[in-house]
Amino acid sequence: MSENVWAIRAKEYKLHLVVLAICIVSELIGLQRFKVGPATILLIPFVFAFIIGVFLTPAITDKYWKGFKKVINEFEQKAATPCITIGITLFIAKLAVLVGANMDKIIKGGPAMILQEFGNLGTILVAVPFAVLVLRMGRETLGASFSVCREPSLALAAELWGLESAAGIGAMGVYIVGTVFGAVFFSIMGSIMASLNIFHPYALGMASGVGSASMMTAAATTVKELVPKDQQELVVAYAAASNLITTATGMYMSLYMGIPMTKWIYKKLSKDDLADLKEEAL
Amino acid sequence: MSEEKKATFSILDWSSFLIIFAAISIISQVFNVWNLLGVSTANTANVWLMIKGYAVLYVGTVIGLICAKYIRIGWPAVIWVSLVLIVVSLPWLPTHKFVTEVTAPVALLPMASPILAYAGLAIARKELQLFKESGWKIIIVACLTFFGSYFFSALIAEIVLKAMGQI
Repeated sequence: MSENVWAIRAKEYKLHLVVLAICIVSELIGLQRFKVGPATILLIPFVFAFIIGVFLTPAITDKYWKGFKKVINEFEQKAATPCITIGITLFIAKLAVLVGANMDKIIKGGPAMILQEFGNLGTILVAVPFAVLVLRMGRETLGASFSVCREPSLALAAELWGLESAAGIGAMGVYIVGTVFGAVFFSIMGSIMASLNIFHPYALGMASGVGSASMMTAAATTVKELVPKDQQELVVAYAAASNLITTATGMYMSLYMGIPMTKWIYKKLSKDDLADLKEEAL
Repeated sequence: MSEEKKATFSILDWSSFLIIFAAISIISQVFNVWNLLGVSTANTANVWLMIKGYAVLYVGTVIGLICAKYIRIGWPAVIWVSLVLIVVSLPWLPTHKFVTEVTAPVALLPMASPILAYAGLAIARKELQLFKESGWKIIIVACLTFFGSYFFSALIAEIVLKAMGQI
């Protein structure tokens, strides 16, 4: 059995070697800082790693380097997908050590930690009005706005509306945008927010826990680089703890608060009363 | 709601990949220290210290995965892995000193590089297609959704932390 597993790993050798090469190049470039007006934008090596990765996918190398498809093709791409989920568990392990080691401080920050979970409903306040009033979008708005739509929320949307319905397509869209751009977007947003000094780094740390390990990591570790040394560890610990709470409770938050609120605001703003919206009873 | 979430992953499959992942990640940490153009965020280039740190994290992770596989109460693997490592590093337990000290050389940022490299490589033709078609509206809404969650959570956290005199 164990031979079997290593035989599978050996077949994927091209993928892992390419990832190693990408990482070496990205780390050699190192962390870059740019000043844009009052804000600082940090570009972290993982942002480079991601971008290089995208440029080496077959859909893109088709256009400039057909030969590279011998190295990375559909087989390698398929093998890369589970690697994200698995690799992240080791990363989570390191974060969990920070959470555990700082548990006394996290408990002290508990009330803030729990109440800021409701801030995740802020997606609705920002996204629904813009989608309906400015972009003139239809029921895609429902699926696209009720949460940042990671796996549990996508599963919820799939069961409630079905992914072929307009609302389901909206959810699927945000899920894909999050998968593709989420980490890069959160990293850059994190660096801008931290450098503008509107919020305390601890508040930004807690806010990073939006229910996705990669988005949380991107936001929190970027903020960490911009704050005083003695606050760095706690920023990441707050982020990881908040993300755990969101992961555990996010689906219920969406089901009982997020989706009803989204529908209510959507009905107020658009002429659609949702009378014929098909929903499965859960 | 379908609540029978079966843990379908294979522990051997996951733990064998995690060894490769840890190796790539350690090399990333070393090159992070040697970076040519930017700022370094790694803690050390000492490979032996790093191997010890990764080994402890690895053992904790695999224990978490075993729990996720055999204790079927519907918790995802990340929750179990977190739980195992949170408990052993709690300040009130005797394991605290060992776990925090031995994992200290492991820096967070270089650990994320291989994850994002795999994520980049995994992006499929059909996902790129979505953006070509009616994509731009959904990209804007998605960004607003991300911003909304982050901004309002930060706002509430700021208010509560201030009100309690913690910042």
